[in-house]
Amino acid sequence: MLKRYGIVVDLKRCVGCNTCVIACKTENNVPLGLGWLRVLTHGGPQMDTPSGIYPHLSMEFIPISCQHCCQHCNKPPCVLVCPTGASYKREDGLVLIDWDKCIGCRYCMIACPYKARMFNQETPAQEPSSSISSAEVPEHQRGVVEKCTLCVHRIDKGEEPACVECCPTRARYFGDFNDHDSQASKLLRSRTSSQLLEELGTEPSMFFLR
Amino acid sequence: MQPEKIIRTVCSPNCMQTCSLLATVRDGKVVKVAPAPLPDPEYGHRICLKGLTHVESLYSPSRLTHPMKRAGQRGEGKWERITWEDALDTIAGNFREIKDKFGSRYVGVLAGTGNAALLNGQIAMPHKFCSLFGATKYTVPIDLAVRAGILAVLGGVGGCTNEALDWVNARNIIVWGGSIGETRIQDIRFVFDAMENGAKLVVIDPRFTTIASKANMWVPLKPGSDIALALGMINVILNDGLFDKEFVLKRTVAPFLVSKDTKFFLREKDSGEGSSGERYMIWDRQTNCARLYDEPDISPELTGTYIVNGIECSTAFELLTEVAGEYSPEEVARLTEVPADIIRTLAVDFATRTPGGIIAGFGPDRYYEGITLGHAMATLLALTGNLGKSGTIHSSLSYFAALPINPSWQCPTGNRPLEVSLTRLYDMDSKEAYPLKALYVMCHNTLNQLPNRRKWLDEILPKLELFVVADRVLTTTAEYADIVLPAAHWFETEDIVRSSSMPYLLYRNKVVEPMGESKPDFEIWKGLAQRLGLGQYFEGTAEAQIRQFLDAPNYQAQGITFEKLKEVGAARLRPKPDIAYQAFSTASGRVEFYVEKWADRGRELPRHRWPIEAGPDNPLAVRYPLILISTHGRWRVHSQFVDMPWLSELNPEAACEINPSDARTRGIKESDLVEAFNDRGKVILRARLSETIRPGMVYIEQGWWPKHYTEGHHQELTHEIVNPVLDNFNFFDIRVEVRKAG
Repeated sequence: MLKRYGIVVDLKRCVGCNTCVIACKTENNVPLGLGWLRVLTHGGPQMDTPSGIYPHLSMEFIPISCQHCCQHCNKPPCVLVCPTGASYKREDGLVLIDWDKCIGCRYCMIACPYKARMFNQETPAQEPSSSISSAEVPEHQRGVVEKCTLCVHRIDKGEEPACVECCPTRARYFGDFNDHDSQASKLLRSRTSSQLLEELGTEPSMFFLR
Repeated sequence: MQPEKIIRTVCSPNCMQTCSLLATVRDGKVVKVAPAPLPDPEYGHRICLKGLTHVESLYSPSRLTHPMKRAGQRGEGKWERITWEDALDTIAGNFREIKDKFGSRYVGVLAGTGNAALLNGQIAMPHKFCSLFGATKYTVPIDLAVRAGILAVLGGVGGCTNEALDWVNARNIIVWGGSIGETRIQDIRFVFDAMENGAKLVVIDPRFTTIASKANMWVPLKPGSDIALALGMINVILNDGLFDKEFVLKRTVAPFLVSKDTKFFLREKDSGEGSSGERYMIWDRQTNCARLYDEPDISPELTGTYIVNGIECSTAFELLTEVAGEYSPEEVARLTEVPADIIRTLAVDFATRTPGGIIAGFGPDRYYEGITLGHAMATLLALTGNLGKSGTIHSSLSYFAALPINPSWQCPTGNRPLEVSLTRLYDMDSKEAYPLKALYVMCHNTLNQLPNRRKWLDEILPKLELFVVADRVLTTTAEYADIVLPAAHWFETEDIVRSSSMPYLLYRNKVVEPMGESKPDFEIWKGLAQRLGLGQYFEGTAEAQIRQFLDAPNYQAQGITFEKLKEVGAARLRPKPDIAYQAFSTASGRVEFYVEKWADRGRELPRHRWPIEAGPDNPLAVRYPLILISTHGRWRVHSQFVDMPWLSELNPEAACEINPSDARTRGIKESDLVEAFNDRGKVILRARLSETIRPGMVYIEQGWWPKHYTEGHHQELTHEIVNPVLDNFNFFDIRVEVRKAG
C-alpha cells in the first residue's frame, strides 16, 4: 500500500519554544529572513499573545500556522498551477520542488492558501555559512521558490524530520497515515484533531490534536 | 573532502538541562548539531532552540581569538593585542605581588555558572586554584533562598527531589513561581506525561506564563504574597484534618515538646529526671507524662500544652497550628488577592491528590523573604506526607546533591579556600571584601547579571588594581577589563559535565580545535599555576585530569571508569528511579518544620512578611507603583546566546511588557519608547502591551546587554539588599515607574 506521510502536532504539549523552527533552519540551512516553520498564538499576531483580559486568559501555541508551513496536501493547489512541473507530489505524499525546473513565476505562491512558500529574491543570505546543515540538502538558489520538504533527505534514510526529532516536549509526530498501526494513526484515533482550512478541500497532511 | 564525522558532546549553560548533542563535523568545521541518545530513553534526545545555534556561536564573528590588554580607560573600547605569555606573566606577576605585599586573599576569583563543567567551568578548577594560591573565592548568592528554607526543614545539601522521570507518577503538581515552559523545556515533558496520566497541574504565578496556559488551574496572586498563600493552605489542611497523621507523627518533629520560654525543643536533661541527655521529649497519652521520643510503646500527643518539670511546653504541631490559625482563607484572600475558595481547593487537592508536589521556580526566591516560602513549602510537603515516595516532587535549584569531588584532587594541600559571598563586595566598608586588589572573572557576566550595575561601575571596579575576564566574547563585563583572555567554546574542550536535572555524569568530547588563540579555561589555570609555583597540580591533559577525578572510591564503587564514560557519554550516578528524602539528614532525623536554630530570629515557624521593597506597605509605592520582574525567557540562558542570528530573527528587541490598562493610564501605546526608572537608575526600551502581565507589574527579560537597550540597563534598577538570614540577591523585590521616553 502507498504511504501517506504527514505530521501530527499535540497542541496540549506545544509550548511555542520554537525549537522546531530552529531545527528546521539548521537541518535545511534555511536562509536568513525566511522560515519554513513559524509558531504563533491565537490571541494576536505577536508571539505569546493570549486571548482574553487579565486574569481571564487562555493561550494556545500553533507551531504551524496559516503562514509558512507546507501542509503537504493530498490535493495540492500549488502542483496544479505549476507551469514547469517543478512542483510535484511524490507517491508517499510529500509535495516537493525541483529547483532546477523552477522558473520563479510564483503562481504556486498565489495558489497556496497556507502561504507556505517563499521566494528567494536575492542570493540567499546564510548564517553562519552556506555549507552548514545536512550534506544531502541542496544549496539554496536565487530566483526560486522554497518551502518545507518534510526533510525528504532524512525520510528517505528512514529518519524523522528534524522538527520532530528535536521537539523537547514530544509534541510532534511523523508517520504514515495509511499504516493503521503507526503512532500517528493511533493518535488520530484516540484524540480530537483538526486541520487548517479544512473547508478548502486541499486535504492537508498535518493534524493538530487538542 | 574528508568524510563527515559525528562527535558526541554536551551543551552546558546554566539552564541546567545539560543536553548531550551530536555534532556533525565536515572539513574540520561543525555544520550541524542534533540531540544525542541517553542511557534512559525518557531523558533522551534533548535539545532546544538555543543549543541548535551552536554552529552560530562557534563561528560567531564576536568570538575573542587572542588575549587583549586595555589601551585606554576601562570601558573605552580601546584594546591592544598581546601574547598569551605577556597576559599570563602580567596576571601571575600581579597576583604574586599582591600576595607578597598584602596577602593572597586580596586576589579574588569569581566563577559564575556559565559552564557546568569540571575542568573548564565553575565546578572544580576555581576552587582548586583558590585553595592552592590562597585567593578568595567569591560565591554568587542567587537562587538560594527557597532552597535554604526547604533544606533547613528536610535536611540535605544541594537540591533534592525525585528524578524527573518519576514525576509522571504525580497526581497533583504545583508549579510555583517558575516559567518552566521557557526555562526548563526538557523537563516539562514529564509534567505533560503526568497530566496525560491524570495529574492536575496548578500554576501559581502573577503572570500568565506558557506553563500557566497549560494548567488545569492558574492562580494569579499579588507579587510577594506567596508565603501567605502557603500558610493559607496549611491552615485549611490542619483545620479540616486533611494532614497525613501517620507521617506527621512518626516522621516529623510534630509531637516534640517545645519550651514556650526558650522556644527550643525540650531535651531529656530539662525533664528533671536527673539525666544529662539531649534526646527530644514527647507527651505520652497513655501514661500522661513526658517521655523520650524514641521509647517503645508510646502514644505521642500531636497537640496540647503541658507542664514538664515546671516548664510550660507545647508540641511543635500545636505551635504550628497556632501560627496557621492566623491565616484563614479569608485573611489570606485579603493578602494575596486569591479568592478564598481557590485557596481551599489548592489545599484540599494538595492533601488528597497524593502523591504530588511542588516544582519551585525562582520567582518568589527573588524576594527578601524567599527563604520563608521554602520553609512553608517543606512544611506543606511534610503535612501531606508528600516526601520520599514515587510521585512526590520537591524541586528547587538542582535536583540532586552536589557532585562528589575527591578532596585530595580538588584541594591537594588540604587547604580549604576562603569563600566570601559577592554581597560583601557591595559593602564598601566591609573588612571581608576590601581591600580587594585583583579580581579574575570567568563564566560570569558580572556587569550584566548582578544587581545595581551603577555601583559596580562607579564604586566597586575603581577599587580594583587588576580586573581580568576570561570569556568567549567581549561581554558587558569583559568590556571593562584590564586584560581579556579568549576562552575556548565548550565544543573545543574535553571535559566532564555535571547534570543538575538528570542523575548523570556526562562526558564531553572535544569536537574541534579552539578557534584562533583561544584556550580552554583549564589551560589558562595551568598557565597561571605554572608561573605561581603550582604547576604540578594542573599538569597533563584533560584526560589525565578526568582520570584523576574519577579515581575516587564512590565512582569506582559504581563502576564508572573513564573508558566506559567516554564510550557511552553518560553514566548514571543514582539507582533508577532516584527517590529523594526517604530519610532526613536533619539533627533529629525527622522533618523539622519547627526550625529550632531560627527561633532567636522569630523564624522557627513560617510567617508571612511582605518583601522589602515590593511590598504594598513600602513608602516607595507612591512614587514607584510598579513591581519590576526581570524574567527568564526561552531565547537566552541568562546573557548567553545573544546575537545568534537565527534567534535574533525571532526575538529582535528588548521590551518592557506592561498590562494594557497600566499603559493606557500612562499614555503608552504598543512599541512606544518608554523609560522604566527608580531612584537607582533607568532603562529605555520599547513597550509591549500584554494581557499576560498583571496590572501593577512590568516585565523585562533579563540577559539583554546594554547595547540592546536604547539607554541604560535593567540592572540599574535593581539593588543589592539581602536578608540578614541569608545572602541571596532579590532581583524582583524592586519598584519602578514607567513613562513615555522623551
